[in-house]
Amino acid sequence: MDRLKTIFEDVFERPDLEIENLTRSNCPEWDSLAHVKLMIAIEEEFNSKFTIEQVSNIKSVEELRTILNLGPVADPR
Amino acid sequence: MTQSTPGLRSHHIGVLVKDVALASKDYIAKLGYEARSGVIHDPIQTAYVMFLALPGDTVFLELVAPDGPESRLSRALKAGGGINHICYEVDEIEGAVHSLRDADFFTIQEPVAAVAFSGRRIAWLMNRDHLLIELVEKC
Repeated sequence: MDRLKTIFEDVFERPDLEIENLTRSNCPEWDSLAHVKLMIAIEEEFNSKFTIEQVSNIKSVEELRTILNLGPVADPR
Repeated sequence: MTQSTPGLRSHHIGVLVKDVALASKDYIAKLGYEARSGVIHDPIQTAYVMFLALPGDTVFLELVAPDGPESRLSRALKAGGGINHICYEVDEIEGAVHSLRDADFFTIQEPVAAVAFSGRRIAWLMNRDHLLIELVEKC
């Protein structure tokens, strides 16, 4: 199970959301309020702590995976 | 180490409604509130707001409504509306934001001028319990 995907689905209330290419610029729902909710949920789920700079600078799922040391999700095909 | 406190004073409670003018009539007629402002449009906050207060009360009630379907408040309203945030007045807004960050709050919006407060700056923060707070600097 992709824990990051589950968090995005919960925050955006969109089951089966495809997150791999998601960025703050291509997702209108990823506004400043949703961003903070994502950061809070991710910190709790991954038992990690973002710096203030990271919270401000994270703009995509790809960046999140890098910071969290998560590899890309394997292609299920 | 002593952590500085942000020096908060309660200013208002924000309630998210569909239509500010319509909702205000109910609060005035049924709960005894008095209008303390007209309906104000704040394009930066993508919102219509109106302030009410009970006679003799020092804490306002702020009715807030999205200014259109693209408003950042529209999603919250679809989730049901109701009590949305608590606003505190502070003497020095940058210092208060910094203090709240130290207290594990996340900044949603850095200080920015707000039409509803005649250009006084506001900031938005949230804690891990999803308590949404607004700061407004003292005039």
